[in-house]
Amino acid sequence: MDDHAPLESTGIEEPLDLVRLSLDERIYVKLRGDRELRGRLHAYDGHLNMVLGDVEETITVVDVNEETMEEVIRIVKRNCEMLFVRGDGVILVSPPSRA
Amino acid sequence: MLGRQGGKIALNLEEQQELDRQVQKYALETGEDFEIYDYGETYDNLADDLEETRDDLNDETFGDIGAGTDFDFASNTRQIAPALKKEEELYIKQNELAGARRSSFASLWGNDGAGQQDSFKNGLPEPSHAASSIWGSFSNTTAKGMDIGGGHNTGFVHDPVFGVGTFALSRPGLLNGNQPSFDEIEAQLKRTAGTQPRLVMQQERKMMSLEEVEAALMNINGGRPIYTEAMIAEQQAKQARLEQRRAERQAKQAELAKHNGLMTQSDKDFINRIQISQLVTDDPYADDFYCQVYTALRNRHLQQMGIPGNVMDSGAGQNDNRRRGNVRTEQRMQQQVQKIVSDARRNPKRTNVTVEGALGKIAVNSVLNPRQLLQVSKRGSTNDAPAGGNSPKPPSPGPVSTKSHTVLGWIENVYTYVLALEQMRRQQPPPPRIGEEDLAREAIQQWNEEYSVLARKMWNELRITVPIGIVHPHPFISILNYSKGKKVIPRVLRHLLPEQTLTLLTMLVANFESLNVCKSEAYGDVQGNQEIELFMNTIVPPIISFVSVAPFRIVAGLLALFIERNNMIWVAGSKPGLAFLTLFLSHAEILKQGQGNYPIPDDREIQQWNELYNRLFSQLQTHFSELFMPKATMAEDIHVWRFLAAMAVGASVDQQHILVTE
Repeated sequence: MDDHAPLESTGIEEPLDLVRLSLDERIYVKLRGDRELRGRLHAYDGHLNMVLGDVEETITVVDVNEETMEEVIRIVKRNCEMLFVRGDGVILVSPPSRA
Repeated sequence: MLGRQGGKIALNLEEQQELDRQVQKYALETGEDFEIYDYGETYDNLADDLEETRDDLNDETFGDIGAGTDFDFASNTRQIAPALKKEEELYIKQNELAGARRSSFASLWGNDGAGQQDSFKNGLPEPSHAASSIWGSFSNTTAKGMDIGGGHNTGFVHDPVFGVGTFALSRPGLLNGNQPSFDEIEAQLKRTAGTQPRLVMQQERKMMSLEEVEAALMNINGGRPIYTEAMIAEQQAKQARLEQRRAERQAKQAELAKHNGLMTQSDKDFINRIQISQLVTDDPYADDFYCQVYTALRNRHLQQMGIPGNVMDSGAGQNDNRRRGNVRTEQRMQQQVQKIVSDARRNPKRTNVTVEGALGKIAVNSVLNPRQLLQVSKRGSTNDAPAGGNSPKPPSPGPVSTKSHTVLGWIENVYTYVLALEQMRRQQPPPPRIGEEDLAREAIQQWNEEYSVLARKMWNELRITVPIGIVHPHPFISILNYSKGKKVIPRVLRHLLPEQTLTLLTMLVANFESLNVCKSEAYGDVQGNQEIELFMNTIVPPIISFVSVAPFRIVAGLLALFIERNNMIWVAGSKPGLAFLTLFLSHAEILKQGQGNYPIPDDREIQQWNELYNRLFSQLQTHFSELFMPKATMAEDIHVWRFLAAMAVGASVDQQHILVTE
C-alpha cells in the first residue's frame, strides 16, 4: 500500500486558505460600521466578498443624549436566510467564539 | 461724440450743437437717458495707433466699383423719416378714437389674467384665432408697406448707435399706412368676440360657484345626486385628464422611438457576436459552474413537479408580450453562440500574441485572464507543486495533531482532488471508433494515468490507511465528524476502487463508536440531529448499495469487527449504529437463504454466523427496551422496529421469546 499522507501536512499556504478551511462552517465576521455577522460561510473570493447563510447581524448603535451627553448603547439584531457581503466592509473573519 | 472732449477729433461749435440737438431728439423718442453715458477720460487712444495711411493702392486691390448703398440703412431711414413721422401722428389719433376697443385688445393679451383661462374653456377658441389671423395679414402688409423709397428695408432699423431700438416705433406707423385693412380686422374681432369673452368668462365663473354650491348641498342632503353642470364638468375634466395622459404616453413613446432603426440587424448581430465571443468558454462546468448547476437543479426540480413542456432551454417567460420577442432573440443568440463556440474550438485563443516585427509578446486580457495588478511571488515556489496555489503541499513529517484546522485542511484537499477528478471525468476522451483504436489508445492511456494518479492522491488524503491507535479519534473519523466530510464521501466513493471502498468501510466499522453521530446524547440538540440526518443521507445509502452486493464472508467479517471493536449497547443506542446493524443482519439473512447472487454459504460459515448472532444477542439482552427513546415519535421508532425485526428473523425460539417480552 502506498504511504498515506503524513498526519501533519496541510495545504495552507496563504491567509485566504484559512478562510477556505471555514467553508460550510459557521463563522463570525466583523464588519465596518460596528456590525457583526454570525452565519454559515457558503462562498468567498479574493476580495472577501462572501455569501453567508442563516445569518444573524448585530448592529451596535450608540445614542448620545443631547442634554446630558450620556451615551446609550443599543443593539439591533436582524436575521437573513441568505446574504451577500461586499468584501470591502469586512474587517475580520474567524470561527465563532466558543461562548 | 458726446463726452469725447479730450479726444483728437475737434468739432467746431456748430457741429457740436447740431450733434447735441440730434442726440436729444433721439433721446426723447427712445426714452433713453444719454446723459449717464459719460465716458470721461476713458478713451485709451488705441485708435491712434491704427495705420490709416498707405491706402493709395486700395482701388487696385479691391477694384474701384465702390460699395454701393445697399448697406446704408441709416441714410435710407433718414430719407423717409418725415413720412414715418406723419404716419406716427395718424396712428396716435386712431388710437384715441378707438378707446373702447383697446379693452378687447387688452383682454386678448390677457392682462386681466382671466384671458389665460378663457383660452382653455369651450367658449373661446375663436378670439385667439382671430388674433393670429390679424398678425398674419399684418405681415403681408409690412412687406408692401416697407417698399418706400429706394432700396429695401428688412424691417430692421439698423442704427449704429441705437441698434434695434426704434423698430417698435416704425411698426405701428406702417400699420396706419394700411388703414382699411386695420378697420376690417377690428370689425372681425368685434363680430366674433367683442365683449363676448367677458360675458362667457363671467358665466363660467358663475358655473364654478354653482358647482361649489351644489357640492355643498349634496353634502348636506346626504349625497342626493344632482345631475347638473357639475357632473358634466367632472366628466369633461376626467376626459381631459385621460386624453392628457394618453397624449403624454404617446409623446414618450415617440421620444423613445425617435432613433429606432439606426442600426441594421447585421450591425446588431455583429456587436452581439463580439460581446458573446468574450464570454464563450470551452468548459462551462469549470468556468460557469454555478449557472450550470443552478439550471440543472431547477430543471430536475421542475421535472419532478410536473413537466412544463420543454425544460431544456426555456426560461420562465415573464409575460406573453415580452416572451414572443425574447424567444426570437434567444434563438438568434443561441445560433450565434454555437457558431462562436465552434470557431473558438477550431482556433484556440492565446493569452499572449506576438505581432510580426514587434519585440516581445502582447498579453491579451479578457474576463478569464484579467490584468494582474500586483506581482506577488509565493513562498514555496512553483517548481515542484503544480501551479494553482490551492494544491496540497508535499507532506512533511512532524508531531501529530488533530487540531481542527489540520483536519479541515485535509477535507479541503480531498475536495480539491474530488473536483479535479470530476473535471477529468467530464473531459474523458470518447471511446475509440473501430479502426482508430491505435491512435486513440495513447490518449486514453494518458487520461487513465492522470486519473489514477489523482485518485491515489485523494485516497491518501483521506487518511484511511493510518494505523489505528496512534491517534484518537482516528483521522478518518475526524474527517467524518465534520458535515463537509460527510458530504464529500458519496462523491469520493465514485472514484474509488472496490477494494478501497471495502477498506473504507472496514475502517469505519472498526472505529464506529468514536463517531460524533454515535453519541446517544446527540439526539437532544438540533445540530446533533442535523448531523445524524446528514450521516444517514450521505453515508449510509452508498454503504447499503455496497454491502448488498458483498459476499457472505465479508458481511460476516464486518459484523464480527463491528461487535468486537465497539460497545454494542452504546452503538445500538444511536440511529447510525442501528442502521448498520440492520443492514448487516438483513443482508446476511438474504444471503443465507440463497437469494443473492452468491451460492448458499456452507455449514461452517453458517455456524460462525450463528455464534456471532448469539454474541450480539447476549450483549443486547435486557437492553432492548432502552433502545426506544423516551420522547420518540413514530417516525423515529421505525428504525428500532426494523432492527428488531431483523433480529427476530435470525433468532431462535428462545431468543424470540425474550425479544417479545422485553
